[in-house]
Amino acid sequence: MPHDDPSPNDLDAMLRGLPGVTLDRRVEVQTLRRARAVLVEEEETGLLVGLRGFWERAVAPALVMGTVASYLAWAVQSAGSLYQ
Amino acid sequence: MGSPSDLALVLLLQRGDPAAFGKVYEAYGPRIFRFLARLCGRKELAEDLYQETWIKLALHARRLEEDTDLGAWLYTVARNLARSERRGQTSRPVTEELGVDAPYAGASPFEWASATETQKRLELALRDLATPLREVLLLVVVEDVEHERAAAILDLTPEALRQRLSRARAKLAEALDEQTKPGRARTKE
Repeated sequence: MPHDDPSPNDLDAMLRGLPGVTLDRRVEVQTLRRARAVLVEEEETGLLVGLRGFWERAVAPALVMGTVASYLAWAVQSAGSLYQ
Repeated sequence: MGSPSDLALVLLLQRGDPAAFGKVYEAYGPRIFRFLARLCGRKELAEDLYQETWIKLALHARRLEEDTDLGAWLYTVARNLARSERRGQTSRPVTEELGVDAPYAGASPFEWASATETQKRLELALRDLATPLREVLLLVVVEDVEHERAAAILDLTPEALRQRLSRARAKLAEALDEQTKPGRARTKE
């Protein structure tokens, strides 16, 4: 490196002093609108997933148990009436 | 590891809180765009990748780990999007043809007009650096990202980052020196 090159410190100071880069307002608005739409969509998806999970974990087993219990009760009742 | 303020924001983001999203956008938006504009060298491309970066955050908000460093996460996504874009390109960006009197593609004509001669030379020298060297300078020096975080973003060991940074500074100094020589040849990637 030639002796008159800027030192690393000088270079860093020059790089830090570079002007900003402006983002167009139009792009900013569009970005936020699209991102928020995705956030809402994800929330709805999350709700559906949550509902499905609740169905699978709680409602469906309860229905199965209820059906089995009803069947057993019916079977016991039927068997009882046969012996009478 | 994210800062305590990041933790609060991450917890809100996990619930899909739009206000938290707005705060993250406000805190990191200008930095991410500045990084992308100088990394890509094309304003329209930088704008597209910028949008994609924020959409990725919206998509992943609910799955963020509690200790997510939001700044590092966003820089990583932005950098990876720019890398994917470069892989899909078959030729150099149109800015290759721009001379020293034309703005680098991340700047508006107004920004270019208001820059000093030294700044213009520096922008052009930076633009002509190989991408791995440019991205390390942009992150560590221009964006002032700590070495440890920058190494994580660039997927480097701390030692590899230090070496790359040193090489990038040397190449940039060389490129600036080249510019001052009469009948200079432009550095190619």
